[in-house]
Amino acid sequence: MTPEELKSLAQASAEPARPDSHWEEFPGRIVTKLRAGVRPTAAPGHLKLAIALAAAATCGLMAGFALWHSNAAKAGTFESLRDGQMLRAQLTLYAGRLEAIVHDRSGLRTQLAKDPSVATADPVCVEIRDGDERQVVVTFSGQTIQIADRTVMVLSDGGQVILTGRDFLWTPSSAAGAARRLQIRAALVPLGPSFTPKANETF
Amino acid sequence: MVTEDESRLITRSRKGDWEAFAGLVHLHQRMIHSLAYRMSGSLADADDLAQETFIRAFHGLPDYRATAKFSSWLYCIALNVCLRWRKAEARRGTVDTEWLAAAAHADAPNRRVDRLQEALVQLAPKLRAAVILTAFEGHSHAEAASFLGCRESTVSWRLFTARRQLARLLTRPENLP
Repeated sequence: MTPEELKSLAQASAEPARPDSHWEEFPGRIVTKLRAGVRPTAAPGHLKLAIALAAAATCGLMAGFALWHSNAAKAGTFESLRDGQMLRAQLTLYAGRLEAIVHDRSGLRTQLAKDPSVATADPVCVEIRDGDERQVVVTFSGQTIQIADRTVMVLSDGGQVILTGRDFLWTPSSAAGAARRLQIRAALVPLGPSFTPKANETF
Repeated sequence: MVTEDESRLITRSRKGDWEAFAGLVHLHQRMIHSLAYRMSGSLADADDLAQETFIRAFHGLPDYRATAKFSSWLYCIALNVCLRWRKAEARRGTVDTEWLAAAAHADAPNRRVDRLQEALVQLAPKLRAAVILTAFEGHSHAEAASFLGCRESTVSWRLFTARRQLARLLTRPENLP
């Protein structure tokens, strides 16, 4: 296929039309989402069900988050996220749908699956530093995350965290491929009260 | 680089004015949805990606410098969101069902055009992005390279690979709708 053929095909290819109502409503949906992020008490659409089911629990979680956030400022995001408090709070809100909690330059966000089918065994906290960029991800063993434009699988094996992907391998004691130019540390995140986290750090 | 109206909306949005940001979304939503649809092949997923793009853009507004076009800055965010989107991989090879149904009723010459989107979502995301930026959006290789944060020669190589794969996908009988 020549570049001209591709261009001609592309220009003839139409997209499915959306109703005008979609374009009218979409900006409002974004605003609703943004309001949800900064004012949780405004009860945005996607939280309504959770609040209706457990209003008291949600208030408690918000208080927990405030406490966590305060601790985060003092102790650093990695240390705060690996203690499991934030994870437990988010798991309560999004049971089976929580894929990851991510903290990067744009702030803290949760990554959710559409269906409640995410396995929550072996939670792991990973911090990746690439120059000035810093990202902390809490996810579960078996999930994939994006590191340096690569899809990397997070695995835990006998209390040790391993990150593996194409041209990417990181263990607490070694790094290969693209992992070599990054500073990474990882730790298991305790979900139960009796669990003691074991850090795997190679800073 | 930004229009006066847009500049005012940006300034107000930075101060937390939701309605102003809704105005910015209104101005650029079609461009972002279009990119997201081409990247995902699904209207529902395109909605999610566009949503994520605008939410990131709002939080990133303090980093925006008016030396660049706001639409280009937004486009870069959308492109990154699409490229980092894991579900795009999981759903590769599937396009919007309504769209497929429509394509199935198309006549033969048009069907090749309609099947382009179906073939497009089967490409690796970076190849797909190179095709969308150049063939669909009309950007030069240099512009595409700047959006993608890679060298111009890398874009050329991705396009070469993408065209070869698309040609194969579009002629495969099992790929017919």
